[in-house]
Amino acid sequence: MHIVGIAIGFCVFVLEGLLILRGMGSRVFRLFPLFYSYVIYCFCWVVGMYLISWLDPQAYPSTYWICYLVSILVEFTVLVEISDHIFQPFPAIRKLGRALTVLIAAGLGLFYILPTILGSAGRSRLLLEFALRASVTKAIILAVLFYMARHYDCQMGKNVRGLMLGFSIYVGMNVALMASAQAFGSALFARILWFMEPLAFTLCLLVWTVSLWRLAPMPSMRAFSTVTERDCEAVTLELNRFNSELTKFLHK
Amino acid sequence: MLIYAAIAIAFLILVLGLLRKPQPLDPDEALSKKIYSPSIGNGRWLDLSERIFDPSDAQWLAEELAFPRLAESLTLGRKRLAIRWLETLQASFDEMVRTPDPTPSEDLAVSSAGSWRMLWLTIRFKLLVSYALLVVRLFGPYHQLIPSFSWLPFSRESEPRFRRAALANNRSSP
Repeated sequence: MHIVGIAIGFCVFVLEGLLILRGMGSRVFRLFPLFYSYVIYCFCWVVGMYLISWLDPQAYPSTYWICYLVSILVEFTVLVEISDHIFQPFPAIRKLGRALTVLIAAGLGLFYILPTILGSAGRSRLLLEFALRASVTKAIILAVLFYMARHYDCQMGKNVRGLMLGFSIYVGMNVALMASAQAFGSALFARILWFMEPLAFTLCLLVWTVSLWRLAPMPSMRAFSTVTERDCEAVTLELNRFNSELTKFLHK
Repeated sequence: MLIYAAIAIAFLILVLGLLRKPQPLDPDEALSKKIYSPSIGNGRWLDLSERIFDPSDAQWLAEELAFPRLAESLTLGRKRLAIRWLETLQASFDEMVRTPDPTPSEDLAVSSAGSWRMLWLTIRFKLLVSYALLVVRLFGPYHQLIPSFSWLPFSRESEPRFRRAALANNRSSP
């Protein structure tokens, strides 16, 4: 089992390194700054953990859990990155993804995650519950983004699709694993679940590496377009016109 | 536990389902959509709304000609038209929102304030249309959509000034 852990850790290290090197070599790094900041954080975490286990093994568990807690929060930057890119071609709703992500995260953070932190359960139980609820929140945000993307016929490029697919696999597996750990107790976690989460992350990294290997252009927006393209200012004017027309009727 | 497992499985199925490539739009379907949602730039289409939401015809039938049933029937027809008009307005608006930027900017930070403003206008419009549809469905096309604020002291003071400004605007406009 120890070998499995080392092998997964090595895979994570290699894939993250590849992702960063490839990103720096192409324009992908500039286009997805928040995502790459997250990958760099994970890379530093892996390297730091190896160093700590070698230099000060006593400090390893506490450092690991602190970094793990921070990573739960840092993962929200991936969602912000995804949401920024989904609606990028549409000037009228360019910021819709970010607004949805921030609003859902703040709402669920306040009413769904925060009560767990304030609860008086044991430390391990509290950590598990916090990770589970944070994962459910991320899953909800992803589902809403998927729905809105479908609603507005957004055709995502290969890069963004890969980001979403990889993160969805990771979040979906996280929810299932955390819920299993909560239901069946620490014995199951000690036997199987401890390496399942890094495995899910490795799978996610694999999808990200393949999809971000090279910069993919955005697909043409529609196979059969019935509208002519206008620039941002024209859309703003049209929006103002819509609003004034409707307000006029409301004031009648 | 079962709920979370169901969430995880449903989520993965949803992801796989949504990530498959969307089918290209059938030309016939696109054409029918186009017919359903006329261009907002068409002034005649907007003038039609003035007629639909104008209660004077129904009032004239009911009060001056004393045909209350006919007036009722006219109101019902106008209600259907009003709902249709608002739905069409919504469809046209969605079509406009789906208009892609011809020169997409790679820098996400560019004109951030403008993008937030446009998003606010979009959400505001969607909320207004939804509210208008709700009120028309519940109370008909001639209901006063904005509740009266006459009981508020400030509105009584500000009303004449507001009206004077509106009149001045109307006079100055060609």
